[in-house]
Amino acid sequence: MTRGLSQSRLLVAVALIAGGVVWALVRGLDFYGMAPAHVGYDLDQPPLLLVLVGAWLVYRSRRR
Amino acid sequence: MTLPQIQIARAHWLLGALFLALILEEYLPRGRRSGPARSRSLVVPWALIIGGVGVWATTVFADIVHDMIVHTLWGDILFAAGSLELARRRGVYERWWLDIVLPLAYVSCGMLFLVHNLIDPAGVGQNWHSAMGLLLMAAGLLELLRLARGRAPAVPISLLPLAGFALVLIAIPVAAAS
Amino acid sequence: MTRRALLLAGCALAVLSFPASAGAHAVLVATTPRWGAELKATPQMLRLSYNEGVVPQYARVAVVAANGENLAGVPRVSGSFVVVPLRPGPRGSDTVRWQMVASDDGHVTEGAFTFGVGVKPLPPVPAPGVGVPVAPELLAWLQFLGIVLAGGALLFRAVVLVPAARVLGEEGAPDARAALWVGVAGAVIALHAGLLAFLVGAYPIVGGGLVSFLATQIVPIRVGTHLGQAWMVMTFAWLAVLALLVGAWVTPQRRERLLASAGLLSLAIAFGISWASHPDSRGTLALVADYLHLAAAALWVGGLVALALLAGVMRPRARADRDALVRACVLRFSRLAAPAVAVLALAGGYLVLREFPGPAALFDTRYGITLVIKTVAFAGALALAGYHQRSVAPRLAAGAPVASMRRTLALEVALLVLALALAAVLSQTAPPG
Repeated sequence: MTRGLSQSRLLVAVALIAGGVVWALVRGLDFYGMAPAHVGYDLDQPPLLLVLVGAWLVYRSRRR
Repeated sequence: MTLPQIQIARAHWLLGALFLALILEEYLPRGRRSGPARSRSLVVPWALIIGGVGVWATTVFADIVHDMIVHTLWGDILFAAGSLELARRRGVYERWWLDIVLPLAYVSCGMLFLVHNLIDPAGVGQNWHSAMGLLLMAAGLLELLRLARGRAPAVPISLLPLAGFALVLIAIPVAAAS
Repeated sequence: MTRRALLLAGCALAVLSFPASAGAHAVLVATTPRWGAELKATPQMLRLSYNEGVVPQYARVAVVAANGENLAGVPRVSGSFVVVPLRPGPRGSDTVRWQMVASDDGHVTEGAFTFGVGVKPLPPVPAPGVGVPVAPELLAWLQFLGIVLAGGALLFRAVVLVPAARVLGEEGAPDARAALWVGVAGAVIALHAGLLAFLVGAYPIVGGGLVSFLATQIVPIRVGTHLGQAWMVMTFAWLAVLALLVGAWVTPQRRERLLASAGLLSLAIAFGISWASHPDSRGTLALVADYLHLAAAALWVGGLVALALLAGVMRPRARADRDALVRACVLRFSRLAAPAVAVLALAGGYLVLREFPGPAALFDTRYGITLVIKTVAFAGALALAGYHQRSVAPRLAAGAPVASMRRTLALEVALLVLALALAAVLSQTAPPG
C-alpha cells in the first residue's frame, strides 16, 4: 500500500515531465508552422514550468 | 500602475506552477494513509497568507475601482483562510469547523472569478477566467462533499479540479491573461 | 522544511505582488500636458491618449480652472486619441475630469487629474455638490476606532497588564485571547474603513454617478492626493499589523513581543490619518499636533476599553485574584494615562488656537459648534478621570472592590467614544480659519 501510494506520486511527476517535453516539442513544431492544435506560445515558460514541477515532485517522492 | 500584458501572463504561469507544486505536495500521499485534513505542513497556509497580502497589493495598485473591490474580497478570503489553517496546523486552535475553511475558500474564490467576469468581461480571457472559477468551485464542493461523507481517501478527487485550475493558469495565453 | 517553505512563500509573494490591470476598459496612458505638470500659461490643446479606441459621441472632458470656469471646448476623437481645445484661463491649479466609452465593448471609464498654470498643481478638487452623505464621517470614526482597539488596547497589555501581573507574582502572562481578538477586530475594521474612506473621498473628485464611479481610473487620485498616498501606506501597514497578530496567535513563545509590536505599529499608522486630511498649507507643526492628539486619544481610550473588558475576560478566575489584578492595572494605568491626557489637551488646544480667528467663530460655524460639543464630552471624561485618580484609586489601593468603579468607568468610555465620533465629524469639515 505504501509503495503504491508513493508510486502514484512518481507517476504524476513523470506525466508532468513528459507533458512539458511534448508541449515544448509541439511549440517547436508550431514555430515551423506544423502544430495541429496551435498550442504554441511566444515563450517557453509554461512547458518548462511543468517539467520543473514534475522534477520537484520526483525529488519530494524520494525515499528518506 | 499597469504592467505589460506579457508580464501579467508570466505571473499567471509562475503562480500556476507554484500552486500545482503546492497542491500535489499537499494532496498526493507520500506513503502514509492520511488525508489532507490531517496535514501538518505549513507551506499551504503560509502561501495563502502571502497570497492574500499579494492580492491586497493588487487592490492598492489597481487601475479601476471595481477591480479594487473584487480584489479586496479575494485578499480577505485568502488571508483569513491561511491564518485559520496556520493556527490549526500549529496546534493552537482546534475547532470542528476548521476542516471546511479551505473548501469554502476554494468555492468563494471561484465565485469571485465568475462575479468579476460578469462585472468586467475581459474579452479573450473571459472563457479562461470562467474555467478557473468553475474548477475552483468544483474543487471546493467536492471537498465539502468528502467531509460530509466522512471519507478520507488516499487521493481526494478534488485534486483533479485543483490541478486543472493550476494547469489552466499555466496554459493561459498571453492575450487572455489580465 | 522551514527554509523551503519560506522560499516557496517568497516566490508566491513575488508572483502575487504583480498588480494586474483590467483589459476591457479605455485606460488613459498619456496626457499632454502630463498630470502634475507646472506650465507658464494655459495650453491651447489638451491631448489624452488611451490604450484603445473610444466612442466620439460619448467623450466628455471638463477642465475646471481655479476660479471654477470650464475651459474645455468640444473634444475631437481620432481612434484612441482625444484632443480638447482650451480657452485661456487664470493662474492656478486646473482639474481635468474625463469620461470615455471604449469602442470595442462599451465600457465606461472616467478619471481626474490636475496640472498647474503658473503654480504647482494642487490635488484634484471635488466636483461641487457631489458626495456620499454621512459616509466620510462614519468611515473616519471607524478608522479612529481601529487605532484605539489595535493600538491603545494592545499597548495597554504590554505596558500595564503584563507588568501588573508580574508584580503580583503570577506565572506567565494573562490569557491573550481577548487581546488578540480586539487587536484583529481593530485592524480589520481600520483596513476596510480606510479603503472605503479613500473611495468615498475620491468619488467627489471625479463626479458623476456612483455606478459610473465603479469604472473610474483611480491612479492619478491615488498618487496625486494626500488621501491616496496615505491610504496606500496605511493599507500595507495594517496588513503588517494583521501578520504580527497572526504570528502572535501561532507562536506562544513570542506572543507578548509580537502583540506589543502590533500595538506600536497601529499607533504609528495614526500618522497616515492625520496626513490624509492635511493640506500642505497648514504646516508641519499642525500635522504633528494632529497626530499627537490622535495617538494620545488612542492610548487613553484604548486603555479604558481594555480595562473595561478586563473584568469580563478574567471571569473564570477566583474573584479575589481577579480583583487584585484589575486593581493593580487601574493603579498603574492611572499613573501612565496622565501624560497622555496632557499631550491630548495641549495638542488639541494648539490646533484650536490655529484654526479659529476669534471666539465668535466657535458658535457661528458648524466646525465651531461641533468642537464645543466635543470639548464638553472631553471635559466630562476628564472630570471622571480625575475622580478615578483622586478618589477611586486610593480606595482600590486600600482594598475596595473593583465593582465600585464599573459604572463610572463605562461612562468615561462612552463620553470618549462620543468625543471620537465628533472628532471624525471635525476631520471631514473645513475649519473656519
